[in-house]
Amino acid sequence: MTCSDVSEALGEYVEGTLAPDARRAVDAHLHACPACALLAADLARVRQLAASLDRLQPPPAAWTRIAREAQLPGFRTERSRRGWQGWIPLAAAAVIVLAAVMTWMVKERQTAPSPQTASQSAPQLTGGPALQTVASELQLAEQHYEKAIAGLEQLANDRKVLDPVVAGKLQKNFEIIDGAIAESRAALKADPASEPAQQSLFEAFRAKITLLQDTVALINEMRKGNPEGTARVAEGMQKS
Amino acid sequence: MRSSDIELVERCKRQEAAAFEELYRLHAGRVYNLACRLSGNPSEGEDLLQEIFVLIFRKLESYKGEAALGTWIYRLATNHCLDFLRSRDARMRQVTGTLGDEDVTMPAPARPLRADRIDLERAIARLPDGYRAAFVLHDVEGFEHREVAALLGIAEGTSKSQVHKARLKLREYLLAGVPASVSGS
Repeated sequence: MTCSDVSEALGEYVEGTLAPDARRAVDAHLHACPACALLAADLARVRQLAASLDRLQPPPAAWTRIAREAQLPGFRTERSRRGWQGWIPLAAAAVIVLAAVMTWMVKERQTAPSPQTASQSAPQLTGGPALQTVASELQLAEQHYEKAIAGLEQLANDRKVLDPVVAGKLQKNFEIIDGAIAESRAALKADPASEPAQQSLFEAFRAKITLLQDTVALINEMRKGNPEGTARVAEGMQKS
Repeated sequence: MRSSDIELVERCKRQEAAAFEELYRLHAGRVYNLACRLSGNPSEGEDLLQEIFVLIFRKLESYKGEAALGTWIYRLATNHCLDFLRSRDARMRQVTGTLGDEDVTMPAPARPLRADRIDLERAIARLPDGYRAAFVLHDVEGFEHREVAALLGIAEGTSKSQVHKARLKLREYLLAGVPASVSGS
């Protein structure tokens, strides 16, 4: 039996399905040929590893998206009852996925692009003074929100520095938060005195502002070609 | 078909919201693993998971109980993932057409393979779609070659050949050191 013959037979050999006579012939060759013996051991190792791969867990937010997409009965009622509280873990989970992707990017991207940074056009999104009344808080939150949106639009073209997968994840996060804002606004319209709806709207605004800040910071670090900075931003997003 | 399957499907057909979630919780893990590994990309795996369960809920009325619910779901999921691969691959090449086309180069062995499961995950993502499909279905998911052949629409002998070539390719990647920038597509 030649090495080529053995190589062809090793598929069934490592699966244990080779006919007894052929198996004996392969065994004899492997005893005499270290290279083929090493190959057989490696293929068996690959097969063993494949059978013991970790079981991946679906993202926690996946069910919510599926239920919405499938328009399952009762889901809308359940989500409305929970209000924005149901969206917070959804957005948080999506951000965690995003952070994981960016961590991967840190390893991949080692080149330093343009030294220009996005901060030159980024709005200052940090919080303002303490809010005194519900009305002023709403108004201030709206102002922050609109300012952040305007800033992000300015930076939209700059998002090309991000990997398309990351940009897609960011977009998905913004869509999730926008959905929560729309839902909270609708709830407030139906019941302007609803405290849970007000809280939901504030949470949604804060979530969006935080994500916008992180996006700007991420673009800055990517444009500077700073893997450590990118990792730091990604880590912060994961914690937020 | 198990009585618990019958009961769960009947509850779904009665539009009980909790039944849909129960069905999802029971089967999402296996479907998600399959979707991630067949696509070679967690992001696409997540999208596939969503598409598959939306499809399952829409098709549940047509489930007649000829097979166990898990089998029915798994088959639907597999077919959907393979459709996705064919669609993705059609932009560059035919999935089944390249199942046996790529040569596998055999590096001169110098040392035993030292790799862990994470290395293998990344190497699997690098495989050509056709190799990956056969390998994942057989070596990871545990299908027999005749089942892999039926799912992929190829001969049983071709399935054996593809899985073997996939292992050789994986060994090649692992011996060379799998790059960190594996995207799987």
